[in-house]
Amino acid sequence: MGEIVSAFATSHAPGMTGLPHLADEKQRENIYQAFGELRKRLEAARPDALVCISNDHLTNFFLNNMPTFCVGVADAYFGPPPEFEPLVGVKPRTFPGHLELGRAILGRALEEGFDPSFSGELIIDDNFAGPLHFLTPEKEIPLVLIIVNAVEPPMPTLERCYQFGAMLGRALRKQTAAQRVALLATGGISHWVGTPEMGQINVDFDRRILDLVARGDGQAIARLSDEEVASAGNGACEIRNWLVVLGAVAGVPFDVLAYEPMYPWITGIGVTAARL
Amino acid sequence: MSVYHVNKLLHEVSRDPELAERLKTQPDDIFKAYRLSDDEAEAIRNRQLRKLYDSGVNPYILLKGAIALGIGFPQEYLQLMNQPQ
Repeated sequence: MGEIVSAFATSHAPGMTGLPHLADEKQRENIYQAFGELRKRLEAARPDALVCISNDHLTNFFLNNMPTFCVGVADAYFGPPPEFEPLVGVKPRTFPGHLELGRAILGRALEEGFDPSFSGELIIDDNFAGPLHFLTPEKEIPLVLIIVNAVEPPMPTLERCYQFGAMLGRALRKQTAAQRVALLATGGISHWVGTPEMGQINVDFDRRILDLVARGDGQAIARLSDEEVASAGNGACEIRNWLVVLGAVAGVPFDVLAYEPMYPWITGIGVTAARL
Repeated sequence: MSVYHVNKLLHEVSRDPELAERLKTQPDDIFKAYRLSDDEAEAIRNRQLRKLYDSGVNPYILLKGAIALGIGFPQEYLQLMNQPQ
């Protein structure tokens, strides 16, 4: 039987690794130190697999066939691709994949009435390239990637994402492919991508989300209206990814290790870890 | 015509430098191949980003396509996005 040994929810942004020089040094170091703390906790937890949940930025999927949820069933993942490399500023590399765990999650999802698509080849863009640059710079942990549509409406409801996470938690606890499993959701918090408001940050929204995450109250986030989320930008739709992790470790409080409104990176950056 | 085809062109431009180059040199051929309306073709030709956004082009695709077409990020992009069109 599997065990969830770590659960993290963080922001992602190409600038986090691609534009360090534009950021205020103190703010940047606060975020980098928080990621360093995540790395320590991850290594101490000795996971056999790392399940990563995020949206993709039209890298793997286009509007001709856009999955609402997609589970990776691959023995390797690659990224970032050429068009993202200069933005993200990290070297492309191949990450090992945990094929059997991917299959176990997919099987459980179908049994429980979720109908995700699946993919034997998922490219990593800035969704995971930055966070994994900090978390697993040397030691490679086999990954399972789960993609949630947070880039083109209609998207899964926040509640459905939370329920998907609850299912993921049950899947991980009942499978035998990987004994010790860590979770990483990336996305958000407030930001606007490609819209006229790009560059704004909604600090009040970000703090509200982080307060709820700190209390382990994913249900309250799942009850937010579309308008409330839109008040923090189209990029705030990515809190769906956080909800998957919050659903998997329902009720567990989180440590908020850092929050900074990073204007040069056009994103409110949060770094959090469940108190497991 | 639907905004889908504009999304498709800008998406493919963002991943294919050769296509981005051809869009500069032979735009009419490309617009025809992607079944764009005259209005949509004009908007791309004249870099009317706000008009494209208001017509429903996905903002991630619009941004990536604009960068591939040489529009500066973020200043020039934001300037074009916030210009009355």
